Amino acid sequence: MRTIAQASVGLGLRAVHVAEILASQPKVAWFEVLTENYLVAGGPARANVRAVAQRYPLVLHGVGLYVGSAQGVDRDHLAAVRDLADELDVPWVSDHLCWGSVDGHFSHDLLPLPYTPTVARRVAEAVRQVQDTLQRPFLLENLSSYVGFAESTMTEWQFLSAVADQADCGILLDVNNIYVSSLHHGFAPQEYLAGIDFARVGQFHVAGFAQHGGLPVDTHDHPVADPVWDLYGQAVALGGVKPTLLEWDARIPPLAELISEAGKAERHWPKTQGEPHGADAR
Amino acid sequence: MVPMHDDLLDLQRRFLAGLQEPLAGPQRDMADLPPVGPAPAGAVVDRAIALLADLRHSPATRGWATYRGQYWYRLLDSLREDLPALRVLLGEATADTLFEAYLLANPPRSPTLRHLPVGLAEFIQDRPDLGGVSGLAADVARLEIALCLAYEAADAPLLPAAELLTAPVGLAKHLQLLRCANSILGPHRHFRQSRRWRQLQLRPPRPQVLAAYRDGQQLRVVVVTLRELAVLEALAQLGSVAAALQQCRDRGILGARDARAVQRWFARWQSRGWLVRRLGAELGREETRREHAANPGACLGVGDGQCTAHNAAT
Repeated sequence: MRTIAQASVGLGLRAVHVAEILASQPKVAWFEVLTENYLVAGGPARANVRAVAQRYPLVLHGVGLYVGSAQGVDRDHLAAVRDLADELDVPWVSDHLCWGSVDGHFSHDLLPLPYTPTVARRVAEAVRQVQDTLQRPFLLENLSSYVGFAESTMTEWQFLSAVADQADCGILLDVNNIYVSSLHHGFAPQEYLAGIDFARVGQFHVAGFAQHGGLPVDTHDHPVADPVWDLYGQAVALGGVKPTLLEWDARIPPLAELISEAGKAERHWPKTQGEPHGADAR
Repeated sequence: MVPMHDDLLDLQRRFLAGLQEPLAGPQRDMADLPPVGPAPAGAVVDRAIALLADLRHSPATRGWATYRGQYWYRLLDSLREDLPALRVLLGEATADTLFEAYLLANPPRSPTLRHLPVGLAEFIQDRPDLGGVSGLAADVARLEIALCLAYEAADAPLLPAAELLTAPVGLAKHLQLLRCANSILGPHRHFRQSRRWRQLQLRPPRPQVLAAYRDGQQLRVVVVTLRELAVLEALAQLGSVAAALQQCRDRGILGARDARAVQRWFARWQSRGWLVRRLGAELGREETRREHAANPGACLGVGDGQCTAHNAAT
């Protein structure tokens, strides 16, 4: 299994950049692959991701396991994720702390859960099933959420920590999501960070958001906002440098611009841990 | 109250049912939908909102509207992206109204958005609100869906010419055979070059059999004759060149003087990567595939590109 250095910055692999990546092999430490885009039987997409995997370490990041679905994780989908992870030899797989389907109907969205101890136990069971199947580390990512359930009795960070502890899984801490959710829910993002066990954090996400009606929505179509970079610096100060990924999924800029934006992460690392961007894991 | 399992299931059912309700009023702008749409069933949405608590900086209805808008925008955008020629043929507003009606009748049942349009051609076929172009629109949808399926279909080892008569033969998964009521290949090629649709609806329909397939990283569409289609379908069914040709001769589709034509067909099909080595398990799956063809709804979301193509061709 390939390894990725703690002090490293990765990029999301996007179809519009694949040809350029294969031709010019830019200095990027690793790429994060959106799992569901490559759960296809064959064809150019699967061939391209195989070709990138021969040149760079990859990690898988999913949007479709739905570990919070009351009816459990779809076993066929999970098996397909396992097969892709095995084929690409990824050091870890991540997905979101959410649900998204019920009775065979799919929302194709990352929907929040009611935060209660009972739901946490159920989700932890599902995550254990995921880990048992994947046989490789699994990281749970916190969401941007725009609603809260009347039934919730825990904060999001308490819920995330409870699930991660009970499932003994890792955390993919999305700093942009913390910031966006804090503006909707009215909590202090520093309080969120203080509630996280950074020993479980295996990866950071940073991303840009858009404003809709005066409140942020997690759209991944803008540069990372300054308050998010500041919060990222605080997270690094608390938990140390971890593999960090810039997410940019819509209105995608040229590859060179993405690499430059992602490189800003290094400015927030302690001087002793900084390494040349992208040169560590190859 | 601490929810138990059934409570969580009930919560998720209520939440998703609320998302799936038609958008109304200003919310339709969020999904770029025409201002007037189906009337929403308010009680379903109210039951979903009742699950939520107001947040410190915004009422529950505001966050709920964000999820509603995202649900509809994401699904509509996926259909818009996969069916560009259909959108141009119908016009954006009519296409959006059609897509909305389709999604209301066929909420997503697959974990991948790529399968979202697989029932659209059948949905369009007999719609009276399309002003007489429903048959043409269904053909265009069928072709665009076939191209999506061809793009992601499984790779398979090609069958060497020397083994054609001895090895079990199958059709490549990326090959999508379509029996269309209208001659849409020319207008579709024109669309792919110009992004404009050459009008066809005033001409009398002329049936056309199309083969959409993957050639390396390219997608191609060609016309095949009814006799070629018969041989290809026999190959898919029987898995043997000799048996397929015999069946076509027995049915009067091929005659004694067709030998050279058949040789040319097989050479062409091989050069296009349509003929592959058929695995043992696929022979068993053929029965299942024919059952699917008899019941198109059962094919949705199974991730088998052949399935939809077979439906379209039968």
